[in-house]
Amino acid sequence: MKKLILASAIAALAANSATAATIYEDKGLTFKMKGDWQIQLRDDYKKANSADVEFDDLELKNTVIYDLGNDLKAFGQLDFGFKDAADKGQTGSDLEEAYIGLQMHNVKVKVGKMNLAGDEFGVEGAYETTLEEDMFDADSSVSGDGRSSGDDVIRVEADFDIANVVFSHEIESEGNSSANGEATDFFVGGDFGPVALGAAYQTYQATPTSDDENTWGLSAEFDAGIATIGADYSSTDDKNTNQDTSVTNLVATFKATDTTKVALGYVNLDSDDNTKDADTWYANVSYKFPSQKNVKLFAEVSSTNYDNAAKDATVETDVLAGMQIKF
Amino acid sequence: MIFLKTIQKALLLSTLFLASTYASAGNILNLGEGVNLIASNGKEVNSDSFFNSSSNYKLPNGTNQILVNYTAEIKKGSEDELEHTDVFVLLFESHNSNITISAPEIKKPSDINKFEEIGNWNLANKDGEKIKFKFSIIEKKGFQLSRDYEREIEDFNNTDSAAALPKKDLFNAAQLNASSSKTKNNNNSQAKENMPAQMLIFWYNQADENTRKSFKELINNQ
Repeated sequence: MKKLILASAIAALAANSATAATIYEDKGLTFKMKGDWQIQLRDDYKKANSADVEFDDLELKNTVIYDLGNDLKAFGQLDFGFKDAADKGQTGSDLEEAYIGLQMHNVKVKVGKMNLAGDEFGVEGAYETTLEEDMFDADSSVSGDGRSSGDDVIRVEADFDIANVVFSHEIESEGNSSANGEATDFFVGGDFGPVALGAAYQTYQATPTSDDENTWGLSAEFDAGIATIGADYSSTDDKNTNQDTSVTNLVATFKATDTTKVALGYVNLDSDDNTKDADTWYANVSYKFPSQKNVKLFAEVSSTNYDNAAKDATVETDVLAGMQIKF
Repeated sequence: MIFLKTIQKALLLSTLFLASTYASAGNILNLGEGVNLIASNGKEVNSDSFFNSSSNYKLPNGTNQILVNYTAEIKKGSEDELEHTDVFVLLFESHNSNITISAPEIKKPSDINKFEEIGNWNLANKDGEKIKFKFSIIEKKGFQLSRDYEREIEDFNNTDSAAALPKKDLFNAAQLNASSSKTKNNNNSQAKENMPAQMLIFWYNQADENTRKSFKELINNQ
């Protein structure tokens, strides 16, 4: 019965997919529900692993917005991810984002669990990455935790005509269950006709006694009409290990037809610790159904080479194919 | 000679056929990237095949009213999220044109707000000439699932919005007969859609001059 109700609800949403995101709108209250479901069959880069059905992003995003008048809005967001529950048999879901905020004109202030400003950075275009997408996506050398999101975040976003600026600070929250370091991030992105530029900076401290891990990055994209070319460079100066690590991305996306895109990309990781040096090339193709462009089929092949011979011997070509539904 | 005459007749008939075909060709509406055609001239649009490109639609010559919205993919961090604009009603005139409808580039949520305020859709024919149109946003309060767009556009066309279909006159002066021919030629065909209008025309035609005059004074004093 529950499956029938859920199937009917999804069918009702799909029947008018053009407006499926807004569920309710009246008297200043708007409730939107969005989803991003991606399932793929993948034989990943590890020789020891055989092919597997992977769940990448099984997300339900709920947004509530109240119009308070005088160009002031209050909003809340709850994003649930079910990929770990699907892949590893966990019960329940991962709460991926949970925050409330206020928006006045073009400025938003958000408080809660969410991504940091540095997460806005990057041009990488692969479906799955063997290496880090960029250094803002890398894990801390001290805690092993990711540095792109936090649980105690205050985030300010300002949207101007040609640029947008994002500032975030994750408070230390030491001694509390949500403590996972202190981070201050800054991102600025600008659109100048066919050219988009981005710059980001983060200073991260895993524990009150550890040293800083400082990351900076620059990106550029050029829309040449028949293709979009992108490049970014990001680097972390880790004062705990006294080592620098950088990632360089190059990507070109071509529109083969109205429904089909092809992307070719290259990622290089260069570290003072030579055992980590590696590079990856990837190629993927995406097809959107013309009658329902929210539904996409995709396939990707990638290959990673490690300078470390022992590690290189354990990897092989990564192949995947899958489908994504967004609403 | 007979053979030549036959060829001439065939050519003449072919030319007439092609001319009549062109005269009734109508318009073709091509949808730009991200544009969704929801309804056309009062009827919802459905794709008959999931592999159908669904980006070219036939429209009749004359006044056309379409419901459209735009879906943008907006980068949010490392992901792209779908954002949809409100539903627009566009009203325009076109004859035998190949029309392309497109929206300005939308990269962030504030672009959507601006687009909904300005309504700067681009309608152009194959020569790039812009086609003038009137627009309005059609809103529904409450739950948005499974909207009945045919009913909504019917209600919308009863409003005074600039993008509403021009209202048809219920009365046509040509239907009014002189009082000397009051029993015949009650041509009510134009008012068939509205029974009260039909009956008013009928009884006006039945009335003598004094009664008609009194009726006009009554209406003018309302």
